[in-house]
Amino acid sequence: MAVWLWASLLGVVPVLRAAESAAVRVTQAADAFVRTLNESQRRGVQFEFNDAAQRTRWSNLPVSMAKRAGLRLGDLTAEQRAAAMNLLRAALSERGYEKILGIVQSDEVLRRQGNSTVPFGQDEFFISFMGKPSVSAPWMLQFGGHHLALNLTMAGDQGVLTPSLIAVQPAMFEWNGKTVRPMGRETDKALALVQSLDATQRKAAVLAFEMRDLALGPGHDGETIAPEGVQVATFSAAQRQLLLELVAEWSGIIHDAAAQRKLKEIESKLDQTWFAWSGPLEAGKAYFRVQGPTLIIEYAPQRLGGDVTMHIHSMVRDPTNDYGKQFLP
Amino acid sequence: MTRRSISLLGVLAASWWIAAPTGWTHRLDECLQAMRVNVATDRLTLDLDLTPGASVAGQVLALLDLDADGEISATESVDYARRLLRDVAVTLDGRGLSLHVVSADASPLAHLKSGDGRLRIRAHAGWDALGTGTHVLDLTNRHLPSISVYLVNATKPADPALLLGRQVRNPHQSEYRLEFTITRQDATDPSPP
Repeated sequence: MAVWLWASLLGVVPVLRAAESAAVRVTQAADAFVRTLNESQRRGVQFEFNDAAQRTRWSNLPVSMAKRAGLRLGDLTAEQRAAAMNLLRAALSERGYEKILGIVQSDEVLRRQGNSTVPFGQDEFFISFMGKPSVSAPWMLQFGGHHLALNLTMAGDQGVLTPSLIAVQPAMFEWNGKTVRPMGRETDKALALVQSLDATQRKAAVLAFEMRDLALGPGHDGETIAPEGVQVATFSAAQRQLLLELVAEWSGIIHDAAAQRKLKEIESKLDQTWFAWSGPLEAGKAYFRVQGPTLIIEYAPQRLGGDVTMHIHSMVRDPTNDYGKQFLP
Repeated sequence: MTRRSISLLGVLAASWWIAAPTGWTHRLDECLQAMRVNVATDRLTLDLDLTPGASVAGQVLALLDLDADGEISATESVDYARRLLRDVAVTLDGRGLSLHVVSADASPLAHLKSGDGRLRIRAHAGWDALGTGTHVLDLTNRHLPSISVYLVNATKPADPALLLGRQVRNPHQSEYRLEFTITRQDATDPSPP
């Protein structure tokens, strides 16, 4: 009782409650999804927690070029599909869910444009579990397809969403009469940050060479490159805030309890964090990287015919805890 | 150039964009060569991923599938890696180094043709144990320059006695310099296995 009282006074209990409720909420949503499945589908969605092949079976490429496993959304009934999306909603923050939904919708826009034999669209996304959904034991939820790979590892009240590939094409489109930019906030925040740098900082931050792609995209698990650019240790308080708001576009995709914990960790290591920029000082036209001891974010516009601002690849990694390796016994 | 020819070019460009497949969601007409450089006290390790886009895959396959039997054998992969490395010049403190292939693994031919396959090469270059102080590694990659996009990055050494310094590249990253410092003589070998 005394411990509980002290914990309450210190503000620990509300955090624990929020974290616990997230673990319970996600597991309940996973269970609800499984209950809608038939026996064959239950086998199809489930993989062993230590299935190394499934763990790395993700890509930026369309599903016809890089095969995914698990259940394909297009093969689910309306009820099953709604339960799958409800699980994603439970596992992610509101803004994170909105971003992922936007990426799925952008692929549907690609499909509706036609002119391609490649299977695009909102049916071409896959969901799978590694390990049984649990409020205490480690398990993984994978969701992805073309331009999207979410690897969410949960262990009780802890959760990590790395490595994850967040990409989009087209980066801006109309959906039900509204303009959607799934990666619009990070694009604009990055420009605001680089524009906030003084001449000395900018000289250090802007790389004198082209970064035409991600350095640590799919297939580069476990690698860490040397940081480059400007050290955040030189940033003012306002610039640090801009950087944290930019980082939160990736770290905040996961549900709020885990996102808050991750952002605090990143904030505590800001002096060891670097920011690099390659390309023009224009929104969506340049590569940038944020790299700290527990974080690597890369953003790489793709020059694959047409407007580079309409096709963006990005990766978020935690070199110390990808796939929740810290959670494992 | 006349106004008419400029207009014609504009129409052609617009036609190309309209006709270009909207499924153009991955690199087609470029070959990505992404290299990671790992330095240790006694050797250099290069890891190179070569990913040809679908429309230039033929050029790479002509060099890779030499017997044109529709399969990439282990021998063909290693042979190609050796020839590729002849186009990569490396010096340490101004002295030339010889790269030798440790491994070369190619994706199946169908994947390489469609643009989602790659050749992964690991190469080593040995050197005498380096003394303390700053050293300079220079690297130039001249393999398939007309179709290639280059990336080159140093990976973090495992040994804390080996400190990475500046990385300098030309705009296209085909030329690269890495400065690194060894802070004590008994630095252990941090090379990847």
